[in-house]
Amino acid sequence: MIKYINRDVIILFLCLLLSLLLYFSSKSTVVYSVKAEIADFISIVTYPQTYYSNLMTIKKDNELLKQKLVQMNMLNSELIHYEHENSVLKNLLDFYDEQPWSLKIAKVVNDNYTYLMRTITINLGIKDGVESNLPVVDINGLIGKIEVCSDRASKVQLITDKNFVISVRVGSDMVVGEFKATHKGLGIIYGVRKTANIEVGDIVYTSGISTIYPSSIPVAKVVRINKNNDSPFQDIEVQILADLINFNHVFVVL
Amino acid sequence: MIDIRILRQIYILLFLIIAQLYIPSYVISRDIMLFPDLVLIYLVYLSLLYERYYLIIIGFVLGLFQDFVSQSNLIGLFAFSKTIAGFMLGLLSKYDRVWNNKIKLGYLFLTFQIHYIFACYMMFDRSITSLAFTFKSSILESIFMLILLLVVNRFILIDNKIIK
Repeated sequence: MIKYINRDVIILFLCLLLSLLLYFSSKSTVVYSVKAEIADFISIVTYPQTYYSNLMTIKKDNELLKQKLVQMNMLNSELIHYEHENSVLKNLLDFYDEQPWSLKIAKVVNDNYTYLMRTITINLGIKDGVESNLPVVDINGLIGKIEVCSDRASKVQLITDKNFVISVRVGSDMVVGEFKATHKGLGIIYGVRKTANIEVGDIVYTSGISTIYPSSIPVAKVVRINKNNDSPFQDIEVQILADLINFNHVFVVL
Repeated sequence: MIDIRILRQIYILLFLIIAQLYIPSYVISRDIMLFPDLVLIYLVYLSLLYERYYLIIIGFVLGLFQDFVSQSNLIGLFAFSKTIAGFMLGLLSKYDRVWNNKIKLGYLFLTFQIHYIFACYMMFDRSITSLAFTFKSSILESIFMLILLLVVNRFILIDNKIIK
């Protein structure tokens, strides 16, 4: 009995398979619509299995997405950094074009703050045409001067160094005085008589008397004036213009 | 030498194929047309003579013949539905002496119904013809075929009746 049932079922499936093969080999639109409906039916039947499979893989996808998010955040940070750098370099380029002096741009590769000596190291040296005592500026004003040169790098003595003194002019009369840094980006102008017309906000420039610094390099801005003292000179407190905190690029005045 | 019974069946089959080509269809409404399926009637008749195994093969072969004769763009359509019909009619031959006429008629209607559901489903384009029409058409065809079978059973099958 079982033998006959098996024989019947086998021949049934064979005949059905053969007829379906013949039917689906046709290129009729009817066959395409039947194929589409079968595909729909299969997708409905297998939906729970697909859903479960998706649930299993969702954790892995989530981890991948998190990883990608971190990568994207890093990339975004990098792009923001580049944008900032681009803006800074654009400003430097504008400054370079506007100045009457011959400038050479340098990158700060190291800085060294000690109690007495305040220096930075730049990536220009003798081979780049740099020599000792050349002034160094940024887009805001004077930073310092080249102290020591090697072939590929130079040490810059900063304006805030205790040993740094510079001849300057200030006020509407452009009276001569001596600038010396004190603390926290501030400085004092010495040797300006009380009769000189100085006002808060005036810009202090290099005098040009020194052989090191050409004239008219901005150095500082007047923030306080005191004439009530026993001396014939007024006390002028100034704020250094150069950005002495975030060193990145500076210019050597050749 | 070919057996006289087989030779007789071949003659009947040839006659049926020619008759199937020329037999008119009956239009009962604007969209429904009833088509007498002589091959299916013949398959019912064969169910009294052969067991299920042969009926499946005969159903497949007859269906394939019908495909070539009636429509050549969907080869395999009637082969598929006739194979299923052959499989179901195999049970009729087995329980011929057990079932009464009502059960036989009900079972035949079910067989026709399944045969036409598959045939109509695979024949009509769903973008043009709805699934409801497929069912409606298959029910009407089944009823029509059952009536035709009863006529054949009454007037043509003299000694070997399907419905006693």
